[in-house]
Amino acid sequence: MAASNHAGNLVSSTAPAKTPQRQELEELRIKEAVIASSLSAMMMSDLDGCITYVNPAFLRLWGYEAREEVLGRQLADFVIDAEEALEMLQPLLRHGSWAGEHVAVRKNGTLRIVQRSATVVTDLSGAPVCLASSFVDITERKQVEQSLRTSEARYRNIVEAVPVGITLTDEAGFIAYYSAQAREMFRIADDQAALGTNYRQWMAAGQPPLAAEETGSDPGITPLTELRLLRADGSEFWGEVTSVLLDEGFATPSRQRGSIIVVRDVSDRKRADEALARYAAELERSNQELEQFAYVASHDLQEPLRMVGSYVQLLAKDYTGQLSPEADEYIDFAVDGARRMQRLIDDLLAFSRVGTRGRQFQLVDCSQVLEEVLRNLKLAVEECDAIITYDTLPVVMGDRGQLHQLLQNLIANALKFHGAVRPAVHIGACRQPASSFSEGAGRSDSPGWIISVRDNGIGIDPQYFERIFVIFQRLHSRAHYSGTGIGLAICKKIVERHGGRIWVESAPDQGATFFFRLPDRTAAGQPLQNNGISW
Amino acid sequence: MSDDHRSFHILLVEDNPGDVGLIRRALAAGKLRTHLHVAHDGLEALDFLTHDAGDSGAQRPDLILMDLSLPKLDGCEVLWQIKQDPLLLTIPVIILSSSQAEQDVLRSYAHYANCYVTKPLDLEQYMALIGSVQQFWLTIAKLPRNGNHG
Repeated sequence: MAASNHAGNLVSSTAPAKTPQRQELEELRIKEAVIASSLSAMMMSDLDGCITYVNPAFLRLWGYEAREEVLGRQLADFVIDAEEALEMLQPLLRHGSWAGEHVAVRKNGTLRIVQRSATVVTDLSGAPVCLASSFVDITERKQVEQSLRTSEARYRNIVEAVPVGITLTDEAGFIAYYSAQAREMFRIADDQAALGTNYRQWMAAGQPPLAAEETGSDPGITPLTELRLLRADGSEFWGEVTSVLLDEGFATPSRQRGSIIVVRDVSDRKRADEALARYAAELERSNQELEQFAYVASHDLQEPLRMVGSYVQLLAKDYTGQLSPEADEYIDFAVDGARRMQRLIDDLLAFSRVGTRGRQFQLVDCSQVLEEVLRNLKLAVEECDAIITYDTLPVVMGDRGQLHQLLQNLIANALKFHGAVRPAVHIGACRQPASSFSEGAGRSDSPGWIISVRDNGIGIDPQYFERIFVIFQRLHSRAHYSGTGIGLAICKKIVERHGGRIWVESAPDQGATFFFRLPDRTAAGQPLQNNGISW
Repeated sequence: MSDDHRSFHILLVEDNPGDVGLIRRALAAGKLRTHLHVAHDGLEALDFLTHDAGDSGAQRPDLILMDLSLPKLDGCEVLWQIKQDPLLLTIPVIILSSSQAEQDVLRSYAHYANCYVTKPLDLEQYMALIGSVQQFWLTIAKLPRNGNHG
């Protein structure tokens, strides 16, 4: 028999075997068997809490083998919260029952969380006789709960911490939840008013609904869209929005599907973009104004200069030899200065005309242009006995007059800066396919033509490669080579207006090769629209 | 030819004294006898042209040389007034401008200018140009003798 006689409360093995008593005894025995086989740990104690009985499940739960290790002791000895285990006796006796949790200390020292339900057992007169307690091990449940809480907190923290506003809606677009970031972003003061509204209320009018909501059946992520969104106070801001349609509902109990809408406030970037566009437009305008200014200024400068030049020439004509040798020299300087300034202004005008007086682009056969140029330069070619060779040049979209000027400047330069040997100039052309790489031309996506003018002249020191294309930069003294230093600057401007670039490869006494690259607009079948300001 | 002995009256409408001096010098270098009348702005030019010849002794000019950019009344406006006036419209008007702009050329001819020339920057060329203009309009071209004046 498992029953203890310590208090004699549960079963008395010494009871006489009368029929009704026998029957009671049978019932008791059955009940004891039930208790003994129960999976719940059970314990009986006297009114002072001294343990009088435990079932096998109790021993299993606490990790003891024999009842004797437990009987006669207080439960407080077997829990970590000993004080609570003692203190609960008072309310238990007062109210007749008690429910709570203990942290059980097992024999091997490990801990289990147990849920305890205790009642006071009374006799027929209602007087308390003993205490009955049952225990359920809830350690696993607690752990699951805890990890759920941890996990929930983790995901909530992520949702709240990411610098985007996250909103959950049901499938009809009604808002079930939004993150703190979203609350801040939309300046929501009243959560009661905001929850349950449709997300479209938070978008500025005249914008398409989000795609995921539109397509309905396809769960997926919509691409990032920039939308004008509305804050609670009615103000607008630019948001970068994406949404994810989810089949698993967390939105509302009645609706199983919903969307996550993620919003990033891109107002700052939008403002920066707009400012950038504004600056670019301003720059373009001020560039245009500057061109116009240079043109008008140089044009108006010509008038007074014409007077200075004309009258010092008259002075020279009428009075040379009549004043003093010094006076004659002064007049010579003045005449020369006026003449030089005239040339500078002419060049400045020519330079600014590239931008302000350019013509509409059309198909231009560069071979034809080259022939014209060589006709113009016939005298210069003959003068230095130069050998001119050339490839067939391509047909490009461009400004015929400017391409003429470009080739003429480059070839004239090649002739002008010849060395001691007989000048030889070659004009070449090669096709550059799309996305190819050339050191000078840089990476380029569109196909193009590279036209080169190669000479065997005095060459250029690499340190001057950039400088030679700057307006009025000269490398040589006027005494050696005349010119204002405008030719290459005009070339650069013409090439840039055509959407290309110009560069040079050379070394001193090694000759020089000037290259320019023109995008091949004809191949793409898209004639370049010349808006007249794209220089 | 009897014209060789007559003296020609030229009205120069030019506000720049420097240009006036150059043109005067260029004309003087030619063989023709010319009287140069100078108007310094558009209004003065119209005044000269419409004034009673008897009072001032001013002559109806055989030729008008005119700059385009003038104070008070722009060259094209003066041109317009001249060509609107049946008494004046037969006088050849030569526009002498420093502008190379296409639109100035077009505008001038649209207002019935008889000729448009650009002032050369170089002195010699300038002198040569004035000489050519004088030569062509006063000796080669046949001009209406007395216009519509009685």
